[in-house]
Amino acid sequence: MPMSAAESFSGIVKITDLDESSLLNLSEVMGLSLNLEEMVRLRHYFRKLGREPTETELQAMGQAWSEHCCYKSSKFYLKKYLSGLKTDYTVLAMEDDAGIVKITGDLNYAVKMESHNHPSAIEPYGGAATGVGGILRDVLCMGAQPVAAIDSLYLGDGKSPGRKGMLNTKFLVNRVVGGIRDYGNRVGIPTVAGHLYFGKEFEGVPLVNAGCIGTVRDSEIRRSRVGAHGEILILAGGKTGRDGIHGVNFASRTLLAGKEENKKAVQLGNPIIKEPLIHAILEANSEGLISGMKDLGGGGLSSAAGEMCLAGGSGGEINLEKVLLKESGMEPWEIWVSESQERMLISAKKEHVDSIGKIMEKWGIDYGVIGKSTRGKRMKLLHHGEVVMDLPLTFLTSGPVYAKPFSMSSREDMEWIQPVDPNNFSMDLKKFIADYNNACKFGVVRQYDFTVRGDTVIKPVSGIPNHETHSDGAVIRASEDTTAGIGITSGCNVKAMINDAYQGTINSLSRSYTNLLALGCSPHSVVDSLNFGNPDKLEIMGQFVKSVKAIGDFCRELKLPVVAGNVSFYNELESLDIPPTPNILLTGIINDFRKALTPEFKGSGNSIFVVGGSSGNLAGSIYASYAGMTGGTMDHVDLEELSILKNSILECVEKGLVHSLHDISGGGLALALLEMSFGSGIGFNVDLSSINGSRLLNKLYSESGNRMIMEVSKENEEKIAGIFKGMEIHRIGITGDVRAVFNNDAQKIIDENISEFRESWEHGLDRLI
Amino acid sequence: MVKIRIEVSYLEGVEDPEASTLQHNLGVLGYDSIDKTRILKIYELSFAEDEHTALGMAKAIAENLLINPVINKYDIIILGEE
Repeated sequence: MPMSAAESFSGIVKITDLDESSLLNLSEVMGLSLNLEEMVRLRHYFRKLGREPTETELQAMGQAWSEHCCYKSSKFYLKKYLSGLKTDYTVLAMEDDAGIVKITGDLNYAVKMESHNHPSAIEPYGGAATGVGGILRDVLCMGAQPVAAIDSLYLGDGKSPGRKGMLNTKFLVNRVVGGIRDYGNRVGIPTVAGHLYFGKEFEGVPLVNAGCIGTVRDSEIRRSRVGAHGEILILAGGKTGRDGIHGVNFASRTLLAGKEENKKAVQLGNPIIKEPLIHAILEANSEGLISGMKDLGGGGLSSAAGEMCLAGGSGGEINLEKVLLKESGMEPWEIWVSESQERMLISAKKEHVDSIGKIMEKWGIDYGVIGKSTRGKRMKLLHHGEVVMDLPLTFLTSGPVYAKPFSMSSREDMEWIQPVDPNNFSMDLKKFIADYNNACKFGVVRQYDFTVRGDTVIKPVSGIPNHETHSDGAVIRASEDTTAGIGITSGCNVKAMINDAYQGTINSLSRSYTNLLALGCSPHSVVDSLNFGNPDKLEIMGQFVKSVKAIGDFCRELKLPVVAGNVSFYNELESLDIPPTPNILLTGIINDFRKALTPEFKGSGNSIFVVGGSSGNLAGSIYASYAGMTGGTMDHVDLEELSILKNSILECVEKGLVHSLHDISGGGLALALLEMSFGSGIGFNVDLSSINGSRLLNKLYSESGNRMIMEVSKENEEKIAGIFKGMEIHRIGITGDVRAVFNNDAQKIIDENISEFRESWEHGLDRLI
Repeated sequence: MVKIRIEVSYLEGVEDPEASTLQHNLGVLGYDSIDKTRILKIYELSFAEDEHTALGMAKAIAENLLINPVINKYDIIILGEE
């Protein structure tokens, strides 16, 4: 029932008589982050309704219409380029809190990745920890058991002094990693994959993207919606406090260096509550007591309750005084929009409420019965009997959608960059592999518990003790009753993104794709976490449109579904925007996890093959930036070749023809070979003469093409040649000894003990971590 | 020589997982009448300067090093001359 008499409402704010400048001022004072157009729309709505809004109503609108909650700048383009990307094994894509994809039989995985950039910029430990916590809940609320966490971090280069008023990189990396470590390890979910990039572009504007994968049976999948009207809404988990108020509005605008206002919106996580919450939710769910559930993330109760009721075709009535609070004296609007962590909203039939309560009590979880779903599509909020909000859900969720204007720069000339040859290739290689982006990341990875739960088949580090190397990703056993494994990899090729947003995105995707192939997994689904600068700038919007189009093009060509994603705009500081950073979480499947591969050389006397073509182009590579060169035109990624590569590689893995596989990505062929060698201490002797006609430097460090390195026994060489018929394939040398030997055009270029290279690679990041 | 104590605690409304775990377990042990538990960090510094200068220095130390203003607040207590 709509209320007509304004007097029945509590906490009125007058807006219907305000002029435009007062409207804007009100948005600013109340922290709504709504622009003039949106404020005018609100004024118009309440004029028509014949009453003034309440404070709670305005705050709820600010929340619901924020960029973070309604994707107003991105929705148009996401729909345009990413709709219709489904496969027959996609169960749920871009609908609820996480995507659901079929593995085999009645077993599915739930997957999601999100950014937590703004909180991490000002409170890295808490921000990163709650990023992990939030993503676990996204997967949990689908009814899935979280089985793996993923973290991709993009930080300042740690060399420049940093921007005034912002945290420096050394502090940030240690605190962010500490937050992920302490949360992930304590909650008992392995952190198995991710990406760590350092670049001066992220100075003061770090990106923290957290992902999670869970497994769920068909019968236990829960939607983020109420089952019907007349169901009971239960808020379980952490208590509600003032922490994190206006988090989404905050994430929907630009950071200001040193500004007081930055200091409002931070939350700390509590993994000690989360661990039993996971058990309690899964237990109640497997007993069939839960009709639907949703985690409380950005937007808090306001978002979660509204979306759940609307999706279930009903309305809601909530008694805010029933919400358990951390502190007394909270205003109704604060309770409604608070983003306190560790909370889940559950919808259940009346007869199940007692049983759910018993399970919650058994696990020591606080909960409160806060309201019910109702007929009609209105959301009514009461606080000690007084109505503080009564609005149609359709209006609340009718956030604006902007087809924002954009501009795209286009380069017509083909530009080829030519760094100068170093005097000594061996010395240069040693220095190059100690670059932060090439160096070994053990100092970070080893802080994470990546084997807890006991299902990690391929760990993020592989190789023999004291000789480990990085894996191309991770493989997790999907369940006890199947041999299927889930392959996971995540990252973004930032150097290529800086060069060209379209090719860079395709390149980031193809890298993740070859990473999964290197594990022996068939790429299966895509999740994108899109981090961009200020969308009000034409060129930033242009980057976004290019990048989303690239994801659409890639996935259509290679028949991959995009099942979940998130967009983070306004990653800028003092008008300097981050480079476009679409972080890709690619999930793959391997039918028999026992066949999964690690990259280290397995034995001496095996042949080393490079498959896939490359022009030797250095544009967008780490070496180009190491040599101080920018620009250049990047090659187009050959998606047809990638598709053939996939089939051929998977055939080799299935037939057990290869000992080890590694993709050639950041750092080029030289680093890829060394990494394979570091994992076992077995050396190699290769001749680069045949791989392409480019200069030696380009052969060593080019990252172009979809190339992979294979280690193959002599007796399998012919079979391999047969499988890769029609593709570019070169036998470049053999494994053995303990030296790294590179030859080119009948000249020995590099000949040095592997341990020499390992020394500089292993200690590259020592100054930071 | 003046001795100063700086107490660092969480801002009102920021949940302290350590304190809430402690309080929960106190309840398990039967101390269930306790309705608020806080855990603080205490720093004691001895300054060679006079009280006024030392106070300014302590404030700067607290703000620049000891607290994160997003989650912490601090109190300075002068313990007196040593």
